[in-house]
Amino acid sequence: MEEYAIELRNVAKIYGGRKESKVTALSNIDLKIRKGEFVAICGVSGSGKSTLLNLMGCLDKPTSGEILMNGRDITILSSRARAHIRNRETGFVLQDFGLIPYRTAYENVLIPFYFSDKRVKDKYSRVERVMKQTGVYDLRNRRVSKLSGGEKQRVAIARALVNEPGIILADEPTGALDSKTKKEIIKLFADINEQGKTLIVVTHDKEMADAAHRVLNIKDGHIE
Amino acid sequence: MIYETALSHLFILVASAALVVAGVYALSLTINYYGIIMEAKEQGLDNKIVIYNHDNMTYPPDYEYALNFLERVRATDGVGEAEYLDSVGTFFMTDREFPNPMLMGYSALVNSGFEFDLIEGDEIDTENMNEVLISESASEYLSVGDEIRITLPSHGLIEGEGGINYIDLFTQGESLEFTVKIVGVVSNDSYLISGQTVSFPSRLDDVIYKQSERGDFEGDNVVLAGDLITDDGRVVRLSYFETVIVTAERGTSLKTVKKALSESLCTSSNIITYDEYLHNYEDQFGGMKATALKYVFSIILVSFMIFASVIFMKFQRRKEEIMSYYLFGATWNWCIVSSVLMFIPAIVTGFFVGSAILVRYRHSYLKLSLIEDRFISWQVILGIGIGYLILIALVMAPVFIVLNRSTYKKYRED
Repeated sequence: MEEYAIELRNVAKIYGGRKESKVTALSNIDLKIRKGEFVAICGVSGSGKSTLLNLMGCLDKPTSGEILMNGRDITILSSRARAHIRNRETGFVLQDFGLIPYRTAYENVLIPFYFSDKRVKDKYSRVERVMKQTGVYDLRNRRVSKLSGGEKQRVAIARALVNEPGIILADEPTGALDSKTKKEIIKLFADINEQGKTLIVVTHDKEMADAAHRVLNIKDGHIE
Repeated sequence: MIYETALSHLFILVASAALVVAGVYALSLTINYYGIIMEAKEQGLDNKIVIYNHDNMTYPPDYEYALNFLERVRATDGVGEAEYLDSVGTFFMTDREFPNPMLMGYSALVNSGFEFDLIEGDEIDTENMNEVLISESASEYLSVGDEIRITLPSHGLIEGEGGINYIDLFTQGESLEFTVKIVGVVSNDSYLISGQTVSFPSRLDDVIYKQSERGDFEGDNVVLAGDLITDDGRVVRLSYFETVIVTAERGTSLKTVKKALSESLCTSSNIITYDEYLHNYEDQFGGMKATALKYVFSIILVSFMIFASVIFMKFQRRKEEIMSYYLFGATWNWCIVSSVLMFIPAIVTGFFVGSAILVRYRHSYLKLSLIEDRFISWQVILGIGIGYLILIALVMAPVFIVLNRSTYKKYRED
């Protein structure tokens, strides 16, 4: 039996409490993503792709349906358990980087270890390794606010990788980058995927979608 | 960022200090209002009637009338005991320096029922004459255990019943000499009882008050005495001959006694029961309760606005940091709590600053002796600390609720 990194079963997400103000962001989503797969999720703004990513990343809960991560239903977990999954099993990369601007690159990459339930003995060597892997080791002592967009995104990717999660979730990771930097980041993502990480990327970018094994198109809350 | 952080902490510190000061001030208003009522009840004033004998306000007083008046009171149906309440006279000491000496005399009826707050020594033993209490101010010159020689100049004696001689405070006569023994020191915050009303209609705070709050005696070196015995063996009692304190016989209500007194005395004297004192007091100071409530409400509202605005502002400014923590393993509650906990040093420092202000000005603005009389220091500090935490919780609770209802996504927006 094939094991999936993420499996969605009849998932729906509806925002708003009152009947007249309800917005259906996702409905009847069934999706299976294999371990080590590189999946691009495409769609126009408001189609529900970021909502889908948030649900898969334990940032939000679906209104109905099941989401299994490595065979375990994450929709029934407590907020603490979901926080644990965000810490150990997923890594996030965002369009606007989500870094702390007044801290150094090194301090930003170290953040996932703040919330580890176990003491990680080799955390400093891990930070150095992923910063070298993403090409920002030389920038480690610079404040993030002093870095370029591409450098910030590399730091963000290093932070997503540092706790060695199996799944990397990225929301428009190339959206704020110039074309040259974009290519570098796409290559970096491809390299990361080759190392066995499951990669799920929400993107408008065709080059990024082309790099993926599979492209899912979302329209009006449905996968086409 | 550094200046902003420093300012936000400063705002919280000041708000926190103000919360302590204003909270305790509101508490002191409440305590001050209820303190006199509680003290009056504890001292048994709610079982007594006070008669202001205005007919005897002539100068010099008519002593024969005064003593007859007392007999008429005692002979009234339903009256249990009756005594002239108190008096004040000046004296001098023959064996040491003692500025502003004042002798305050109480009848045995008062002395047997009234308890002064002592900071040292014991109450007067009514069986042993010539035991006296001194005020806290007088303790600068005198000590418990001292025996002192007192001379009351130019006073005569008026012979009363039961071998008791009342000291004539108004006419020329012989000087009286005593040796008294100091057995205790009365706190400046102790309540005293007095028949010398300062307002009309008389209120509860006229008959029972703190020495430190009544300008007449503030800082005076007062000696409180019961019955005294002179060197030559005469039992004497200072008496103002104006105010009589009366108890009711068992099973007779004060209202009934008052009615009987009004009929038997046929006088314009003001006969006041505890309920009437209380009524007049509430008429005058009832607004204090409302003021205290307004204070508490205002304090919580203003503190909430300061705390909430600073925390929300800080939360908004830290959105990248909070989002980062949330994405990589923090729970949303942790994000909120950490944003509040960062102000704990400012809150705690504010508490101590506020407490220091309270300690510095406690005698000027606060009336906390009711608390201090009943609790020891660490209990008071613990109580104020718990009260402060409750106030902080009241202020913080809406902030937590609002932040908890929000999601991290709100803080992703630039």
